[in-house]
Amino acid sequence: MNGGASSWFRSGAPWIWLNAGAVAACLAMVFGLLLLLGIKGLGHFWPKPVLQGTYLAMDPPISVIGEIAESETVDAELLRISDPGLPLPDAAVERHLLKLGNRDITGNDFAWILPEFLDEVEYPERIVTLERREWGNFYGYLTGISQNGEPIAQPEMLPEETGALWPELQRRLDRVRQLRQEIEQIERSIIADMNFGAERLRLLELNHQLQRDSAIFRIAGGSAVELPMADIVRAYRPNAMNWFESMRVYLSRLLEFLTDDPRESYTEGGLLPAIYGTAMMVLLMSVIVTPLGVLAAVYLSEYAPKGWLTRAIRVSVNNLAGVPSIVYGMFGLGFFIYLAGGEIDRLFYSESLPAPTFGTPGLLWASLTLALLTLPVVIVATEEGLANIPASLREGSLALGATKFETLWRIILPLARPSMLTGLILAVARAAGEVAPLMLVGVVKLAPSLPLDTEFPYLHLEQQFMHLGYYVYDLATQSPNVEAAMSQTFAAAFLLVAVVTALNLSAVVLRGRLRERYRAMDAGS
Amino acid sequence: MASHPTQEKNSSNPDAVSRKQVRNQTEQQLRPAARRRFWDRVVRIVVSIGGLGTISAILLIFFYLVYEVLPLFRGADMTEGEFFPELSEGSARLLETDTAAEVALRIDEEGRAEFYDLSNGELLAAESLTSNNGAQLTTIAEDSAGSGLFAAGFADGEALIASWNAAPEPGADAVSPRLEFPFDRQPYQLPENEPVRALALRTGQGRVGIAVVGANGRSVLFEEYANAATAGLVAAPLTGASGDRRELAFDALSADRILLPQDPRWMFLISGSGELNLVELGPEGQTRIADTVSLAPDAERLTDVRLLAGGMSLLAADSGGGIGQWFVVREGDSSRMREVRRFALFDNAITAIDVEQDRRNFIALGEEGELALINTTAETESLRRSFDGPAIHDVALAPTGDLLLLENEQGGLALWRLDNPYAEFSLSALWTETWYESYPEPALVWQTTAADDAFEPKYSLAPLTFGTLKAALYAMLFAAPLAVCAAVFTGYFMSRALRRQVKPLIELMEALPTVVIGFLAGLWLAPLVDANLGALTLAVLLLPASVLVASAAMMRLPEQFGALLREGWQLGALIPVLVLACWLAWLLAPPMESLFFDGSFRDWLSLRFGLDYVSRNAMIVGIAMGFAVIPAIYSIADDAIFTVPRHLSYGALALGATSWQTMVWLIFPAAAPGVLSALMIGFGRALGETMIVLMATGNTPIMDMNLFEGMRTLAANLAIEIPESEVGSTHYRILFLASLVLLLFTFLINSIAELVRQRLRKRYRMI
Repeated sequence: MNGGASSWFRSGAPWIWLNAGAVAACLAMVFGLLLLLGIKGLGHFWPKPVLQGTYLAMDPPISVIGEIAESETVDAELLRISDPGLPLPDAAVERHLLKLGNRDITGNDFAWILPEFLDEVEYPERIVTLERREWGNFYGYLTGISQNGEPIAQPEMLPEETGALWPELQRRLDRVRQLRQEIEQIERSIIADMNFGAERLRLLELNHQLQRDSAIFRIAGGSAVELPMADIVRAYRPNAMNWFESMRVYLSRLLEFLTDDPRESYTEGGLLPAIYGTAMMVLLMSVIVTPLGVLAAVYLSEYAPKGWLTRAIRVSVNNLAGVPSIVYGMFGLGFFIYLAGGEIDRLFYSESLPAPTFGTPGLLWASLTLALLTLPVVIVATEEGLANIPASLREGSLALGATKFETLWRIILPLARPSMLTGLILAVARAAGEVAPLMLVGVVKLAPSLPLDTEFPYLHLEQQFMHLGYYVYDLATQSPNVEAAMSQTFAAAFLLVAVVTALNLSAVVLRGRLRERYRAMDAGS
Repeated sequence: MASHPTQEKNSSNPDAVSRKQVRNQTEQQLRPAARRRFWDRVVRIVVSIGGLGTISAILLIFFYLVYEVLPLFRGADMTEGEFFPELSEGSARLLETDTAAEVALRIDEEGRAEFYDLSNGELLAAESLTSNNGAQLTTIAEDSAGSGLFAAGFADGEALIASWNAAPEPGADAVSPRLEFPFDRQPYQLPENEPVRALALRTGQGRVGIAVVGANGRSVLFEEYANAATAGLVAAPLTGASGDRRELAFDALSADRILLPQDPRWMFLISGSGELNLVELGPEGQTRIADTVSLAPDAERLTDVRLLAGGMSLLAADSGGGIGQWFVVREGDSSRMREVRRFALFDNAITAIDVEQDRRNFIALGEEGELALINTTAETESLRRSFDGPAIHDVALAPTGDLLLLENEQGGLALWRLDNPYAEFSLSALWTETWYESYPEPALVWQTTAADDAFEPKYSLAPLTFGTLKAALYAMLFAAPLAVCAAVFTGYFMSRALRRQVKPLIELMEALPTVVIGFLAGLWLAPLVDANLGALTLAVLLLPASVLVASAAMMRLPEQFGALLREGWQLGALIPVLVLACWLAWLLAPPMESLFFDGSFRDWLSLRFGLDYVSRNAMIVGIAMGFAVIPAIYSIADDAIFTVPRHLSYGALALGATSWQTMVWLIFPAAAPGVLSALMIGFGRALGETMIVLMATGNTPIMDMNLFEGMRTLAANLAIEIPESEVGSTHYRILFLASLVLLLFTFLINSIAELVRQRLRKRYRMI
């Protein structure tokens, strides 16, 4: 046994295993991170059960209704410092972060609770979760519906049987939804046509109608709260739903996330402006970076004299890909915005000075900065593609009498097309995930309008825009209610990672295919 | 893509349509050779210009940053403006300009106040400044807060607070400068009605203080807390009851000059011989002398004293041509007056000094007509010049520091425009310890903004550079072992087929947006580690141990399993082992902590070693940024190991070396330069990473190697401060300097790494 162990050590096997362990750790970290983001990000949309109970740690005990947002184990010692009166167990205790909602009524919508002190826990089917336009979630029991301030007369319903109110609430919420759609349509047409008068009046009328209904709820603690239905985005009874109904809520929330505007100071609702802004910026950047990058790569690999200078330039370009992105941001801010933008303002927009038009962060400057940042990526990838094309093809073409340009145009560029695509995909992936330079040259927390709309000149290059990555940064660090925004941040982060990972994987696959093809070509010639 | 030449052909040859089916080759043969050559040349030119243009656009970044930084190194410029000969007579008690530097006020020895238009030297108005009883002016002093107020002392022992206004009076269009008395000529009277010898004025912090020295050398301090009448002039907060007034008499002390610094606790009493008594103004009856120093120990006499902008430092000019900067420094329990720096300017006496309103700049005038413009914090001499001709006896600097007034003995007034935007910058202040006002000792501090205009900006890049290196170092500590070990395994031991699958997966880490990693580090990992520090420490030990145990266990498995594992499927088996080890660490940590570390490992660390623990600390940054740089290191190191020619290892193995020995003694040394370049590139990446540091630390610019404290890096600092920085200011340009430093450093590291790699490639080609 002893001899076995020492020979095992001498063979070096343990060290090899340790190295394998490093690979395994790296892989575990990648998958762990993706898994964490996936679970937290996609779980965000799933309706969670709502519990009701009595919390005994307070004096007097209070009744609570809420979702468990998070659980953690803490040292009992720490809790004893903050709550000296509690009879706590010795070692670590588990505690839950309970999302209580109703921020407009109670003031704080999250609370840490100790499960030991939570009594009479149940999950009543009648508890209603409301998602609202303002103030976040609401939890309570539906007890009545009123129209124009008058409770609708339903004498046959006893208070305990308010279940029959539920379909009525849904019917009325559908009406609110339809009204809202109509309002949005009219608002859009007003903006487009500048048509006041009749439509304005109709808008007022609709807005008035929107306020007609309200619903009455009993919240934890027993008091009644009346909420206008116009504020309700979605209402469901999480404890009464089966899997399919939950799925419907899930998909509806996911759809809202991808296609709607944000609400509740950007911590809830959709990400459409951010997705849209990111896409516009990346698109514009691609339009700039592709021709320039290919041109530079073709020059470097085909036309530039082969000498130390070209080599030095190539190395420099290569190294610029490793320069911190914030430095590009500084360049963009100083050169594009203050220098170029300031000059454009002086020449073409002097009537609106000192309010800057182009001399301020905006879409164009952000795209240009990122184009500069990703140029090395495109150049390096394209050049690699050009260099990998078997020399026999080039020589064959030249030997048949084609000029250099003809060889390039007919033989080399078509073959190098996939590698250009690889470069572009990598550039797009990098640009989509980059935030630091954008903070200086164009993104904002809140963009009042999309950079592309129906108003002349349709594409607003000077406008600031929202960006998915910056949205994550802003939500995670600047949000007034970090706990409430946490789950939304995970969802946004997951979306970003999903897009960037998909782009990168496609580039990897493309590159792999390309290598095989060249190898086959080389072998064939 | 091929349509372009076809169109060319069509236009040149009308019957080309009939040959449309006959494709390119035929057309090309028919195309005149000259035209083809022409196009070849055109494309060559277009591509060359376009390519070179694009490349220079990227390289422009270097030149632009240098272009933004260069003005910092330029000194001040001084250009001659108007000269108005024989404007006035005698010497002036007060000479100053308004904030727009359009009108100058000159008050002469007799108290005649004259207002001059600085564009043409015209006398706009004149009036006489006398006491309420008509007594003559004896002395005058400006407010140490730079408010534009001044105090005037008279021969009958009265002192008044006055100001002046050059704006047109309401209703009138012409400029009509005039003296104003914001306190309604409310007098402060010396007890024995003796003539006022010197006085000082201090406003701010909710009170007005005026200190007066009589001809007998005794001084009185009047202090008044803001009331309704003064509220507009004196900024809050109030420390005494509104409208209160107190008088403190100092009979025992004789003084010739008096100064009131901005800190209401202090008063400077200065005798003619240059001795300064630092008076601590306590509550009623507790006033005492805290320190006594000599302001001009080496020179014959003191020639001028002034308070610097901000009202904290005293400038003492002497007959030896030197100027000392003094301020109150806390030493233990007592406060002392310390000479913080000394500027030896001229060989002979300094006759006058004047200070700028907001920046720590002053101008000094020598006996022989020498002039020097100095910034105290940066210790820069922006300008030095000598004047011939009639002796200059007074100098005044406009509040904004861009106009200089020089008055000569014959009453002539010369205007000089000053261009001195970057006086606060100097390389030494950037990198070495500087003694800032109200600091107990010289320090390296980065602090650029405050609510107050007269704030002393502290531009030391040292804490930021330190933070950058600290973050990068901890990141490398985490990333380097993992990445290099992983590269060793996939580059040599793993089968090629599996390596092709695994490598892109690890490289995928690089694609993860850093903002997401930063978010997870700051908001998910930091609280997690916060609560489970013991478990994490235990995991660091348990993870390698578990791998070893697992490997030993697997050696004992039946042979066919072993063969399967040797194919590289260890990985699949190891991931559960690692997860298990983490779980074990989490499980074992609480009992271990209560057994060995009194319940909490974190508290034990802070008690035993005095290590403070901040939630968003260097360890979190190290892990998160390490995660981000692993793929960069791994990818290059793996390539370096993989490309070592295989026949080298075959030889070693044939001679009986084990595969591990081959790795350690042959492959790794051969690939070492490549691995080194990989580490360098990873380090370069870590230096410039912004989002992770921004989100995972508290961004406080401190200098402390403690693993459990935060830092602020150069890159994160840029992201935080540049949006608020004024374009073209010193701060703005210093931030560009920081980005240039970052650019050059990473570029240099990457270039060296690239060079190493290229040489390695050449060597392998030869083997």
